[in-house]
Amino acid sequence: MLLTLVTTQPRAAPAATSAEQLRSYREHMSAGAALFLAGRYEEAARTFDEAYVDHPFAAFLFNAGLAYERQRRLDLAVERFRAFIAAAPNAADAAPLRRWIADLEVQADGAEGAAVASTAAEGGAGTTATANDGVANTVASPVARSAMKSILLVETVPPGAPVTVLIRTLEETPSFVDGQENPGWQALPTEATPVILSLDAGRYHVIVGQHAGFAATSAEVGLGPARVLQLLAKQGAFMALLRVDANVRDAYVFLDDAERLRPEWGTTPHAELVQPGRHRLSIEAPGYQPFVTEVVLPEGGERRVTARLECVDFGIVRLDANLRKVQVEVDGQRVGTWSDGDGPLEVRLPAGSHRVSVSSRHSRTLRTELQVQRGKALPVHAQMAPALRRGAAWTQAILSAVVVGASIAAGVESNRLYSELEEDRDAGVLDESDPRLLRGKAFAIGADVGLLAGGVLGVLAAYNFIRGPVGESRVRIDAPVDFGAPSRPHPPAARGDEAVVPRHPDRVDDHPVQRSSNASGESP
Amino acid sequence: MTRRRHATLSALVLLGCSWSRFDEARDEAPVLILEQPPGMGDGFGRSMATSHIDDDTALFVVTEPGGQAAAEYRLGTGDDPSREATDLGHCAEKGAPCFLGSQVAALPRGPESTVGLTHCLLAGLGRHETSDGGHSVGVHTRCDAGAAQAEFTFALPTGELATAAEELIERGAGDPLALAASRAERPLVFAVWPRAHQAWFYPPGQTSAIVVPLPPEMERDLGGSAAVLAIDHRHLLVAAAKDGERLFLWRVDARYAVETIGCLGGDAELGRALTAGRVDFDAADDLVVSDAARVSVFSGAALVTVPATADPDCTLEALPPGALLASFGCGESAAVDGCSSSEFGASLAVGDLDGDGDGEVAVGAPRMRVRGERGAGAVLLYDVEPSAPNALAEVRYSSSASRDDGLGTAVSTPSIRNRQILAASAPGAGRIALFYCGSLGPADGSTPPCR
Repeated sequence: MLLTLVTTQPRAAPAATSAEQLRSYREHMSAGAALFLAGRYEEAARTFDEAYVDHPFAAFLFNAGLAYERQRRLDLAVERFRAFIAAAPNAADAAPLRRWIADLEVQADGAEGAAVASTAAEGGAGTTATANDGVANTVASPVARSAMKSILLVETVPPGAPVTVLIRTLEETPSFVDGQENPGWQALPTEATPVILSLDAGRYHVIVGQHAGFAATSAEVGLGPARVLQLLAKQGAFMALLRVDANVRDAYVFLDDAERLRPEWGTTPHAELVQPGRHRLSIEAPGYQPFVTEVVLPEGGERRVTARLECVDFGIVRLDANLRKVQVEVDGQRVGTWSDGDGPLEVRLPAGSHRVSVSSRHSRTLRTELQVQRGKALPVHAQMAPALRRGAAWTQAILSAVVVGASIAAGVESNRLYSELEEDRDAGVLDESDPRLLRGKAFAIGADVGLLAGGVLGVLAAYNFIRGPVGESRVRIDAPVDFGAPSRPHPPAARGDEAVVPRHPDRVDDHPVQRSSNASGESP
Repeated sequence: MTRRRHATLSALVLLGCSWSRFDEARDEAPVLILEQPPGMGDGFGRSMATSHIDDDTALFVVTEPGGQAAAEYRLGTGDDPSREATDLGHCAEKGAPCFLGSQVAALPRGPESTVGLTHCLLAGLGRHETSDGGHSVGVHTRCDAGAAQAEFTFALPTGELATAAEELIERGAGDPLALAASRAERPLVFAVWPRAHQAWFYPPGQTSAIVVPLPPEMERDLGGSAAVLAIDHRHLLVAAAKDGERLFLWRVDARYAVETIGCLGGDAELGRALTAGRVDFDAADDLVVSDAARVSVFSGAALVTVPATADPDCTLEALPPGALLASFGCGESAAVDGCSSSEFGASLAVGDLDGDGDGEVAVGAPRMRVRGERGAGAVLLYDVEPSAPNALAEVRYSSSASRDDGLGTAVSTPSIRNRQILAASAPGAGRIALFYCGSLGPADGSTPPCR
């Protein structure tokens, strides 16, 4: 079976791969890679083998061998690696791979035992990635890098165009510049289009040379592990290079997609070859007014569009609270209800000052003024304080009044008794056991205590009427933030091992490069 | 500034309601109260007597005549008497039966036959167990002997009386005597036993009795009140008749020879209470007598000069001019009324309450209505001055008077240093009220309660 697979490895793919074929390649590659990364090596190996049966690309063989090696099924691993070399004899890492195969064979035979296997496993990278190998430092041992190989398809219409693929050998090497000395870039052996390469992850520069009277063109691609990338140059029509930039980085760029039926064309800054003609370009960023324009691209020309996005003239207040439910009014108008468990209540407001009122049934109403900035979201957290219990205040006030009244009455009675006692004392008839002495004293004490208690109750009542023991509801306002895009996911972060130009190489097929003498990027 | 004003205002409000002023008022109360000791029974304060010697004053308070309970209080020399009775053993010792008299007498100093005895109370008929195992029957006496008490009896004048007393005591039936003493350290004691139709006296310092001769018309008519007046070196003995219309008078000379002067007739219940004291400015005691409606003051100096008579009509014709010093009836004040049923004159006492040198007459009216309280009782004071001999000077009552207190059932004028205060019993309340001050004086406000 394996022999069949190896021997049926084609040297070249058809002139132009269809979109369906390309999707099938990618599905197989993605399925195997996902299983491999999940540690399900047996299934990964089987998937790569099956992919190779359907699409006889050497990368599938290598990836299957890698999965077998991880299972320590070394004989099968050796078999797949040998088949890979047979299918891709010009592979950049062929020499170190052969040495590794030899080590694996020794391990498989058990002649050297576990020590040899260990040496091979641990020292594989060092022994295979030598400086003498030229590009070996970029074609690292699969054991060390655990990197599956990817597939790069370079196709032209008509086929037969010369293709040069260069690999960046050092991380710090600057981008390739046509027509100049480019140290740090090394050419891989290639043939005329169509070209199918099984490559390690890395950065490559692809040059489609002059062919059939059409000018050469080039592109720089970043290639991740286990990817399938197609570069298609339809020669016979000039393509145009559209560069889009804006004063806002990572703004979404939509091209000829008014209905937003497709993912964004790119994010700023972005440049890509597109069909010449009239295009509708839309640049959007959260918190900014959309920039929409039409651009006419001449054949073989280059057009740069630089958008200056203006902030929207409104801002958003994102409000939440410490209660289960609050009502929100802005400038006297009810704008909504926030409930616990929901996200923050977002209220779109014109930039400027706004009076915001947050209320709840059992809380003190929060009134504050917010400064809404253009294009900014203002996180507002309402710290609602419990509402005053007026019942307690009234009770205290009434009690205070009653107690003070009773105290005054007691004081008056005490004074009256004392006056009587004074008269009796002056008359010489006051006896020391007169019950009015005790009664008057009790009234006096009652009056004093009552006045004190009444005063305290009065103060408490006043306090509860005016201020309350728990304070006012308060608001905490965080620093304004940029708008998010709640209705759309953020674009994935750009990875260093992905292509820089074009940003979305997978979509190159949607915007074929027109072979043109002006396709080097110059503006018409 | 505002804060200080508020603080001042608050302080004034608090001061206005300060309770400490009531404590001060109590401390400055001019009427002090002696409460009835527990277990003394009813009638506490039906009779009182007082003795004073060496700045030490004792007040004896006894219960119902025929009863067996008395309390002795020490009033001290200032305005803070002991509220607790210092001796409750008077006429109450086990094995020494004693029956309280309707009047009791107090002696500042014991008989000459004793040494160091002071503040003696002659309570009534009683029996005393002697140290030789025997016993004696006579007028039961208990004196202070330093830290202890001494009891003995004044002998009855005759063996027949002793036998009669013995029989009564054996039967447990008390028969009240009426005892009176003159004002002296060792006074003359006059005793009247109405049911025995006998009267006798003990010369000062003596425990042997001298019988008072009774005319036939007097023999069966002796009442339950008596008085002794000291006039120069002579004494005048006065006893009320049982029929309540006559007073019997005897004169005792310096050698204690006694002769009957005669009798005085008067209105109903004449002699319901008798007392003696210096009412006018002479050195002789005067006689104060109450009847159903009035109180009369007779000059002792005049009475002692009345020639003896055997006239059974008991007219006052023999009295010399000016013998009746004053005669006054019940009076009312804004707080005290109800003279008609006041029992005005139920008790009498004479004392120099205002410190002017002569005595004021204190008349108990135990059924007076005080501030609407029926029977609360009051004591009416009469300052028998030549300018207004019959005028009511002051009405004293207790500010805590309540119904049926009966203040004034008995009155006395204990001496406190150089002045006298008024003591009035209120049996209904079980207390004795000591009036330290009043409008009568002392004018100099010499004691704290008298502001």
